[in-house]
Amino acid sequence: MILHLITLSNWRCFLRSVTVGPFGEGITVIHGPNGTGKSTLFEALSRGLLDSHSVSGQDVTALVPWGRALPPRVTVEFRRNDVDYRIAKQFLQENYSRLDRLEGDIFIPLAEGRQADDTVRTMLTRNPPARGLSQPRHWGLAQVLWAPQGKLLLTDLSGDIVNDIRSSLGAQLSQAASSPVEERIVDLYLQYFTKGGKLKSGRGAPELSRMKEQLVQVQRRRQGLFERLQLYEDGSRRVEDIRARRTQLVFEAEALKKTINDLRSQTDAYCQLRVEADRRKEEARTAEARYNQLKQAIDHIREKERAHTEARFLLKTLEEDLVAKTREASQHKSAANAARKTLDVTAKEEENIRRAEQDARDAEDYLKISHSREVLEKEIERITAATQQMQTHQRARLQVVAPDLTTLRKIRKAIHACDQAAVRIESSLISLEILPTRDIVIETISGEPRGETKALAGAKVHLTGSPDVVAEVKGMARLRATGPRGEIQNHQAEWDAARAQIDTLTRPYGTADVDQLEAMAENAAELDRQIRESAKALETLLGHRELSDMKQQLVEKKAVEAGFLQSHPAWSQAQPDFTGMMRAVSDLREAHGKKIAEAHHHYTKSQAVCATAEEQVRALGNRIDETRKLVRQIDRSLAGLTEDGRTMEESQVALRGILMDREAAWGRLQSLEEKLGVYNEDPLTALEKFERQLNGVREDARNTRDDEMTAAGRLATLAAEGPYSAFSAIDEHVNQLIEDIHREEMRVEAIRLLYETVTQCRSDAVAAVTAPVEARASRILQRINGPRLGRIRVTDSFEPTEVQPGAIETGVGFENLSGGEMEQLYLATRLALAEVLASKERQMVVLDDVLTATDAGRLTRILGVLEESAGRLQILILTCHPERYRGLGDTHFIDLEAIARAAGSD
Amino acid sequence: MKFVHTADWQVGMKAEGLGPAAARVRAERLAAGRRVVEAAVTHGADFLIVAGDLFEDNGVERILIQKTADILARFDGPVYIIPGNHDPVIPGSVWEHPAWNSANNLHILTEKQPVDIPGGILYPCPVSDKYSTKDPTDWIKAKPGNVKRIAMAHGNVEGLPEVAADHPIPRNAVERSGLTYLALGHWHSTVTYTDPDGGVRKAYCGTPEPSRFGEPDSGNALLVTIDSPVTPPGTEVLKTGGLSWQMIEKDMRQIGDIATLRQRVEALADPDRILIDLRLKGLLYSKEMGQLRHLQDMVTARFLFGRVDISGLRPSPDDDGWISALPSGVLQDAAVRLRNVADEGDGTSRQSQIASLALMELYAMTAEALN
Repeated sequence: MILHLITLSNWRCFLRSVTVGPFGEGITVIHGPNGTGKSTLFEALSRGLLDSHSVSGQDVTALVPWGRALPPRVTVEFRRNDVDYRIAKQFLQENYSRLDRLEGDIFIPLAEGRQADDTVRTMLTRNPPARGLSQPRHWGLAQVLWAPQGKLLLTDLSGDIVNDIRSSLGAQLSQAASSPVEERIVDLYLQYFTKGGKLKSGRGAPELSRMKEQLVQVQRRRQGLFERLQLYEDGSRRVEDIRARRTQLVFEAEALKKTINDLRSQTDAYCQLRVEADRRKEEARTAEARYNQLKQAIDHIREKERAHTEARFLLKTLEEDLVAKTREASQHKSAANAARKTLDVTAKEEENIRRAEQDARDAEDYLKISHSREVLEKEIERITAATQQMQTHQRARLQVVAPDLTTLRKIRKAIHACDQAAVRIESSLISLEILPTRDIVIETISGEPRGETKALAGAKVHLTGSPDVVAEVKGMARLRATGPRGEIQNHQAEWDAARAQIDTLTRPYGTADVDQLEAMAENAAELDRQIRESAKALETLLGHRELSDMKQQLVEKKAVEAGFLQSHPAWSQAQPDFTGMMRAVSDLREAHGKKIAEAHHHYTKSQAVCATAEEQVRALGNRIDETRKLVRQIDRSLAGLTEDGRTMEESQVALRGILMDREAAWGRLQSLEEKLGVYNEDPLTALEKFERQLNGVREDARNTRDDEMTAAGRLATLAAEGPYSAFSAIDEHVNQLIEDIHREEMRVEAIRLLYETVTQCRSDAVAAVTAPVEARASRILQRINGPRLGRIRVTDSFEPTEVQPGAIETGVGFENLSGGEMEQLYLATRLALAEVLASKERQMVVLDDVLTATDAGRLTRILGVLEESAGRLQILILTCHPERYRGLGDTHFIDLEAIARAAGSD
Repeated sequence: MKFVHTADWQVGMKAEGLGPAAARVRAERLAAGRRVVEAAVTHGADFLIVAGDLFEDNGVERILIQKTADILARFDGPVYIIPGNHDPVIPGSVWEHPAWNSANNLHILTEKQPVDIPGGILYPCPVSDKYSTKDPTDWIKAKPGNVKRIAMAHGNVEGLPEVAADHPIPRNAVERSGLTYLALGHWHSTVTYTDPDGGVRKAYCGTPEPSRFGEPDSGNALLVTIDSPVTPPGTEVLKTGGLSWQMIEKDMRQIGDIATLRQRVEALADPDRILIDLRLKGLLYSKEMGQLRHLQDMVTARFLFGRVDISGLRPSPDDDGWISALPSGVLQDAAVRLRNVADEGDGTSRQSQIASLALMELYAMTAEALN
């Protein structure tokens, strides 16, 4: 469809009739500032072509110019399929719609009212609105071809436009006749599967899911019944086993009974033999005991007699030994005593040596104390001298009265202040100098010097005074000099004060002469220095000691020394030789040491021998006592053993008799035991064992019977359930379900396969259709944007979804693109689709103020693209920036503002 | 001496894969038992022997025991029963049920002891184990004498190919034990062993009611007539079966085969007593898909039990017409792809079967849309 022109009146800002056009078949740029009505023009175009004239509502009343009550009108002239039409509509009051067709050179009415509306609408769309104003989804081809302001994006294209695009691409997709089949396939598929391809579950689940759930439940029940059946069969086996066991136990009991009966007869015979054997054994034991007893007694007597004899012999021997040993001990004692005496004598010699050593020690001490006494005396002398010297210096110092440095400083300061005061006084005095030219007499009336002064010619006379100086030159003049008053008193006071201080400070010293005072001070300082040196020397000599202590020490040393001399008077003449004395002591000690060691050794040895001998004597004595005791003890024992009065021979005879009895008894016992030996074991034990065994078997049999009854009871209970029937019924159900599920699964799989095959075929077909659109749109985008964004991907509804840059295999979503790139992408897609739709008939593309985010460089390339597209499309551009499009060649620019102005619109 | 030889009633049998018909099938086994008793009465039998497997399992519902006992009690003569390998005499078995004491003519023979019967001696060989390699007739020591000796045993006669030695019974058991007749149970088909003199001295009577598809010559009992201990007994097959189990395998080769089969199946009389298992293989033509569906519906609805297995069918490779007739585009492409998958290999793989089903589904939808 190509637009020729559009006329509107009473339409928002267009109060007067405004005609925009005619439009060329190429590019037209309709421009004007904001608020001129560009978008209103776009709106009027869509309303005129797509909306019913009789539509009402707020959206329609909003078309009325503000403050007016005028019906909006629009007329659109267009061409479609080489036929020119004109549709004129009025909305709201007295609404109408009239469609004219150009026949020849004039427009002839073709349809009116609703018919006119429908006729025009069907030229563009097959999806008109049911009521109300049309929305973009009702626009048909215009969804792609017209881009309203701010709505360059392509979304939610209606099915009709998609089919139109596909049809234009010549896509051999399913025709209308097959669409119901595909829908049926989809419906059937969705009965069983979710859109995600999973088998449905829950409330919307297909029968298959229900059957599977049922199968799980039934299988669970089956398992339970199978377990019951197994319990039943196990129970039967258990009862069988128990019965077999019980039967076995019965057989065992019978066998045991027979064995026991056999054993009982054997046991009686055995018992009799046993009793007899026991009796014989007892007899034999008794005989044995008597024999042993008597034999033991005889042996005991013999032993005692032997012991007695030995004891007596021993006693005698010991007594003889004692006598000899006593004698020997006495001898050793005497020897030990002699050795002792020798030792004592030798020990006494130690005393002499000790004395000599003591003398030598005393000599050493004496020498030490003498030496230390001498040293101390010298120290005391030196200290005394130092003390005297210091005292001399101190006395000298006492004679000297001199100011200290502080006093001297004060004196100097006072003298300085006095001098300063004098200077100030001098400077504040009035000064009169008279230089007589002849000899005169000057009388000083005020000032100094007072009185008369003879002044020779040429000799100056200087008078000073305060507050004035008055002098009279006799016979000539009275001179008077005056000056500032007041200060000299102050200066005088200062001088007086200074002088007083000087007097005070120097009075003790008898002179105020600073030099003398300084000489005094120096002298005093020198004496002080000498005193300090003396004191330091004295301190060094004392070394933290007191002289009195030292003198006391000296006295003590002298006393000690005197003590040594008293005991050794020879030392006062000559000093003792300590070293020689010590050497002599050492020699004496060595000789004495050998002697005493020998005496000691001899004494020790003799002492030991003596002790040993005495010990032996004691031991012998003890043994003799013990032996005597033993003899007495043996005597007593023998007396006890023979108190029956029997002699040894008589006892022997009795013993032989008992022996014969014993032998006889053992012989009888042996024959009985040979008889008993026939039995391998005690039949009683075996009998008891078998009887215990029989009791055990009987107990087992009872328990087994109880178990059998219990198991049989349980088995009967299980049998009463008819477990096989219950199980087989549910097993049939399970198998039936499995079969049904298998059949249903096959069917469901067939439905899935059918759906997936159809879907895949459709996808392949769509891909064949969308590929050309993608290729075209991608080429346009690359011309605008370069290769960076790569290929545009569209859905089967031709809506762009992503871009696929060449460097990567996966797509990139639009959220990663800038606003400008999005504009360019959607423009490229719209142009590509528009070219597809224009393959059979030239179509109009409207771009209402798009590309606001596109930079100048890319816009230039877009202009190139638009120029080329103008070969196949009529392109209307609405913009408030006409300068951006001045680069377009062969383009018609329409100034909407000028038109509106010319029309006198509001 | 005249008696009815029956066995393998398998009361309480599991009827697997029969769906809702299972209960009826199980009930029919008792009905067959009634028919056996009725036949015995009708033919004036002196006694009735049941050679084992009266019950499917010792764990059947106890009510079935009572019912079975009641059925057998209706015979007006003694009934001699031995346990079989399905209902061996073990603790908790059906033989402990008090129902057997409710009628005086029922004799459960659980001991290997000869029993005096009217006109002869009966040697029962009761089974006490599910499995055994011991000859159950081994204990029978025939004594000379002019007495009709009947034995009843349950097991496999030796010499059958590919049959396990389960309770094996030697082929010469009759001669070895000096028997007049050996009544066998275990096999569900009626089998008589003809001696060289033309006589039948041992036979399997078969189950009185068929128990599965493909079971030959079942649904019978045997009427045995013995005139003397030495002359061969006479046997007559008594039909006692109530249901018909029909398994039909058909190889579809050309258009019209399904219709022919359908007609044949429709012609079956008394469908309420028929269990039918149709197994189709071969080629399926698109034109016949409707017929196939009709056949499936009819089989499922009309008969006591009906099953049609079409897993062996695959679309005919020559039958492209309906695919070509589809509008070119998605559906046609899809149909071609499905057909290619269905034709892969020999067409028997699971994937091929699924593809065939998908193709049939597509055909049905497109046909419905065209209509």
